[in-house]
Amino acid sequence: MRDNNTPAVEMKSVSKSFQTKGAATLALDHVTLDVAAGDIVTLIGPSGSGKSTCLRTINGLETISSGEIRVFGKPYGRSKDAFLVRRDTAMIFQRFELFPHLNALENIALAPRVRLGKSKEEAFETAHALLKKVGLEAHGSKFPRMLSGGQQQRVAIARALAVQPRILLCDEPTSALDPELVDDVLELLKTVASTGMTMVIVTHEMRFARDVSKKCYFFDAGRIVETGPTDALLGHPQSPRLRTFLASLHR
Amino acid sequence: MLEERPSKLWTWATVLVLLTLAISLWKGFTALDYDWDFLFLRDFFWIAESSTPGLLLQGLWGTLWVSVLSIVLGSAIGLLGGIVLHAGNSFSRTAVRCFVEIFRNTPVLVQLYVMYFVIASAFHMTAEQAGVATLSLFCGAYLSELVRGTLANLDRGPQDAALSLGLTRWQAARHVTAPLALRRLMPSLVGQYVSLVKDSSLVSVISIVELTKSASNMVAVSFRSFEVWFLVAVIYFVMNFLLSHAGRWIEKKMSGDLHA
Repeated sequence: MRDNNTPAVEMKSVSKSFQTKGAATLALDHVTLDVAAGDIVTLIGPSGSGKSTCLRTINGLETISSGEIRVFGKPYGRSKDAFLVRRDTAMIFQRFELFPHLNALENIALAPRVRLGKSKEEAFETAHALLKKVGLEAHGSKFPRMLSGGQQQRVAIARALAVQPRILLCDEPTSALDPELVDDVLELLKTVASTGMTMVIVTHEMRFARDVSKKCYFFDAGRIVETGPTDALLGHPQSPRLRTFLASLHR
Repeated sequence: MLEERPSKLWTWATVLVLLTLAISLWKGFTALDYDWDFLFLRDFFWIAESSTPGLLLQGLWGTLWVSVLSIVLGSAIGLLGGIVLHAGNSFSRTAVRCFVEIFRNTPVLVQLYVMYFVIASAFHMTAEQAGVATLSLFCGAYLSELVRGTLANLDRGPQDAALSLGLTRWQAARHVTAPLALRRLMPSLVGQYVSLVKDSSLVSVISIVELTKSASNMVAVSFRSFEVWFLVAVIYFVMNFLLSHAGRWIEKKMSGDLHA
């Protein structure tokens, strides 16, 4: 089934503008980006540079104003059947966004039951296995509020994996975590990465970006300013803008 | 000891208010010079010779079914109206907005008269149908605004998460947005329902048999308005007390998992 020559994600000259108080703001300015199947790509840049918006356009949580996006060759953009594309992707959010009215197991089991039409037993069995995989098998009946940020994010990762995505989109998965909880989540994402999953990760963790990704895009003011192999990009930045950005991280 | 002072002040202020109330009540009742007799009310509950419910029970039944029906229909209207106000196009939003403004900003009494004497006669509606229709629309108008506000202030995060997992809009609404919105809506919803039960007394003006109508009939027969209206007030109180406590119980059950 899987054709390895088809890129997982292709964005061609994608722009998105917001209308704020009559003036148009460009959130994305002719962004062109490719992710090959099985690749792990990181998006870096200052806040408000468009990297999160870019990630959210891939699965249609944000609409685009112009350009073209293909996910595994399927074109879509402003169309209303973004949910068809979402069936190939799953997403990890900065603020976890677990369903507050469901416990950890139910959070994981919801999409398999509703979307994949699995039976209750089957869905909960999968949820159990995934919860064990993220090291939280003892917390299945706990509600999100009773879990720490790191635990919530691990449940969120399990929930995303439960729909067996072909692409995992990660939107600053550790930015909302206390420093001592970051490593657990990053380790877990590395484990996921080692399974050959295609991943697009927005992150501020440069060490992590170097560890997992071959390719990196640097965003500034809605534009891709620089791109290349992660090691080279972070080791030998060419543009002054990236140099200042990397320097600001080390302060 | 600094913290003691405000709390004592509150206690004394409360005692003062309660005393004032008690004294006014006592003075009022002693000055009234009225011969209280609640016993005659027994016959209005149940007519022993014919083994049929009396005026009071007939009225209570009327109030119950008018209220329940209006609450159910009003909730449906409110849900629909709220969703349109939140997500509809500008034409449908304007239409619902007009409906909401008209029904919220005019007296229910006037709405009842217009519905009964103008609209009901054109469509051959009974007084009961006109009464329930008016109360449902009135309740629906308030609920539309409540539902809209709740939806607008709802955190979009969980909904985005549901969509990102490949759920359709409908599935996300059904399994994530609706349960979360309902939990938020519950307290104000119960408040509206309590209001509606009290407002149902107004349909007595178009001669629907309900508690208030029965009460005025009972007064007309017995000439004992004090006892009758006291009893009726107590019955309304009990109904609404039960309703709001049931609401609070459901609210607690639903949000127990949210605030644990």
